Amino acid sequence: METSNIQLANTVPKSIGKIFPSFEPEIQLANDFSEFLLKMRRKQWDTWDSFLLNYRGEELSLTGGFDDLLVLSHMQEFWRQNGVVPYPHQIETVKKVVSQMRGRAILADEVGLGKTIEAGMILKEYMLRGLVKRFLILTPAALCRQWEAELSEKFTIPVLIARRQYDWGHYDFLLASIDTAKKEANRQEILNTYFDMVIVDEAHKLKSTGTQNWQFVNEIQKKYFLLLTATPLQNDLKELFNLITLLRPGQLGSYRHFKNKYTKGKRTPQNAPELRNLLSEVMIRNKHGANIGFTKRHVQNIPVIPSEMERSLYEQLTSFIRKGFQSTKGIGALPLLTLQREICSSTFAAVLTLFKMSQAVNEGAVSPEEAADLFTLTQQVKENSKMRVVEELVRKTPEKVIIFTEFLATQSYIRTRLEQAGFLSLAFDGSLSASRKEFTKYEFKHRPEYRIMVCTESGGEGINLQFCNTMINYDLPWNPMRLEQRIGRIHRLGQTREVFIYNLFIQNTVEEHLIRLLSEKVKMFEMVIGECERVISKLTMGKSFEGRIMELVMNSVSHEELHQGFAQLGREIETLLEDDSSEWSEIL
Amino acid sequence: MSENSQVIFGFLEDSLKVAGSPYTAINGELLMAQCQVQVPRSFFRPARTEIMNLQMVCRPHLLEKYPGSELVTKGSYRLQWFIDGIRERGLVVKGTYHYELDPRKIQREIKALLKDTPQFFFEQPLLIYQPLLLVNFKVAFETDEKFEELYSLDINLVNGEINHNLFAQLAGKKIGSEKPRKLEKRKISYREGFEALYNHLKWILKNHDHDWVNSAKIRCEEEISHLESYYYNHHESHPAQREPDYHQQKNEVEAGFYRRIAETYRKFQPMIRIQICNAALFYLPIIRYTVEPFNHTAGEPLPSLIFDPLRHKIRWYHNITNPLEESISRKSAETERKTKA
Repeated sequence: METSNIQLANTVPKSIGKIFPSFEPEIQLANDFSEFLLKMRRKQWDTWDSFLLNYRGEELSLTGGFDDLLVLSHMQEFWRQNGVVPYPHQIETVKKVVSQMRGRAILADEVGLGKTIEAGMILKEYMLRGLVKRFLILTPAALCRQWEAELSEKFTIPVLIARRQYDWGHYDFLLASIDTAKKEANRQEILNTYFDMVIVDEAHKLKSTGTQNWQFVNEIQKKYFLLLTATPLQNDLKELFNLITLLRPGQLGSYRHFKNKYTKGKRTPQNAPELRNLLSEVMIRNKHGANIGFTKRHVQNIPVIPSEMERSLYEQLTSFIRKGFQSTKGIGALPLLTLQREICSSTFAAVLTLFKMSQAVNEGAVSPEEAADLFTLTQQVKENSKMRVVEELVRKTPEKVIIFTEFLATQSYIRTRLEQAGFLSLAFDGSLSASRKEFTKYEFKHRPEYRIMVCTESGGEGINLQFCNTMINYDLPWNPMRLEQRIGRIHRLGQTREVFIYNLFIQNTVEEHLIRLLSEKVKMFEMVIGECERVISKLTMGKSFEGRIMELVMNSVSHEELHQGFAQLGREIETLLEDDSSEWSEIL
Repeated sequence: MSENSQVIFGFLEDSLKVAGSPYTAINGELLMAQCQVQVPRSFFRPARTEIMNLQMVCRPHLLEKYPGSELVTKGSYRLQWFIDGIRERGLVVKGTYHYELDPRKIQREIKALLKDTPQFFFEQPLLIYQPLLLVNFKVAFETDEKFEELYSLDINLVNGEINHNLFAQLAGKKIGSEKPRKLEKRKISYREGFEALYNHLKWILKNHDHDWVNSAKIRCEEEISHLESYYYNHHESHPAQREPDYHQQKNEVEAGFYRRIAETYRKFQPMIRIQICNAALFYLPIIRYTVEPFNHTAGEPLPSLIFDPLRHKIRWYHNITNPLEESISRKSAETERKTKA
């Protein structure tokens, strides 16, 4: 383990010269002259013109310094045909990484600015120059397919998603989930291989030196190394130190040195300008701003007036949940939390949970009889008011529409109702296999009859749907990060049109408070993608944002109290936002 | 048209010519061509040949003028496609630089090359051809960065003389494919020629400008100093000797340090990769004069005067036994006799 308190001074020679005495160039003949001899002996002479042309071709293909990026000219036609546009900030990033950072960098652009494209461009640049012949990309499992598609569709790099032990030794362009790669059998194969380039996506997961992931990635032998993360700094400055140590040990000195010189406690940096300089040598962080063009985003929060039956059901269920929560003091309240979120989504989502509660043998947080009554009542609701609004919106727009919901039951209800209204839709959820997801995405993009895709969050994670510009949030996730991720599916670089987002909420429910909090206090719809993540993580301090909301809902006995609770939370967020602008921004 | 785009346009046009593909060049701006493409076998389909229509321009602003055209610039995919294609061609070539023997003209040239006014008479000149092996090398200088250079070296297969400017000297000259009649027999085999050129190139590269190595060394040392600062100072606190796993931890830290050092060294280690692009066997003319001094009785007879018309060089050949004539291949002599007969 590299963080132990061991002194090396007595064991390791201090000068590299003692370890590697020579730095003289080694000369290798890449191709044997036998093939030429053979041709000469066989008298397979070609013409003088083709000889000259061969030489002229070699002259034209000579590579020089990194002043001009080969990837731009090499891919220009392909990109033109496929509508890929490299943005100036991406080109600058690639130039800086290859010419100044020697191919080792943390790409820490904010979400949606195209870190994957930057990494792909860097990889392709090195490949075109013949400096990378074997590479490994490590990503979360959910993003493997997307990486594979991006590399293939945007850079014509055929990559293998490695799963078996056999793959490591037999393929040069490898992509794997970090969990697969670190399995013992695979791990040894990988550690025995030298990679010209290693890319790790979502590198913030490597923030602790004690984790298997960090140690595994640290041990991989590599020449060029890219770490991709939108949040290099989340809670503690040590995370940043660990990440940089993984990339370039010693860039920030020893941890003791770093701690003494650059930190005032866990979260507050000191000597910020100096630290920023050091960071800029290994990290590039492009931020959303005037130079980086995002299309305009139109957000409309649409209040939905519930029917009498829905209103009554909502009131009864909330009071049922509140009672259960208070009786257990929040312990084992997860089903209640789910139920509260479900009823905000649709009555159909709540039915199953209520049924399970009514079937419970032991009386726990809630009474099964009461749950059974509510189950019967819920079953009687055959239509949800939100759906009328959805139909109206879908009719109004000629564009392709994505509808997001949190629950499978709601997804199913939406699709059924759309079908009844004469709209064909596609379902996209976590149960689909990776290839099925790709196929569904393809169908949605290319088949005009499928104008609507109904997504659940687990399904929509990480997919890019820039070809679509309209999104309906049928329900609102209680975690703003998830809402941000939803929006990020369509509102990202590469989106050429204005984006329309419709948030549906039922009046006088938690949803209304939540939407006001997010739009007025967090201002997340005005912010560009990626801004509020850090603030939210600070706000929650270990507790989930959903937990905070649930606490508020459960501890408020009246609408007035709920309103006050949300107002208080809003004030906290405002304060955090003000503080935040002066904290990490000094160094990032 | 800028110089670069002109070069590329010319290259494309010549490649199409060599490949025998039908093409049309419009105003020196647009190239329209039909190329046959070998499509390799895929899982469902057999290998086959397809016709591909290309419409290429070499300057960006022409894309608007010729909609649907493809921009071909340095580093572009299409240019690389042509280069990869042409790499299969022109690998070995045999040619003769034919020279018309014109004694007056040659004598004028020789006189111009001599420092002093010649004190001898020119006898009848003898035109013979010598075989030379020319090899073009592509040399890649690699550290964590890379740049490439082309080297063109040639060796005289009779006397082993190595030069590096033959390729440039042959530019623009008419090279024929038929073998010359008076050909001097080679004393060096092709293999020996290749080896000699390779060794000579290695010698040149050893004396090559070392800046690229030195700057890589500086970068490497900078990285190493970072590593040292981390590994020495990160663990600067007193070793916890009493900890039970102290030795194991020490070994792990050491291993980590050495692994990083090795990784860094491998990244910056300078490497020169030599690749042979193509090779040619040339028959180049030389003219031998036997000269007669004005004052016949004074001293020893003069050696033969050798004139190289391609390089415009003269030298004295001191071997009295006329080795050139001796070494003219029997085959050539026989051919000559037959012609005379």
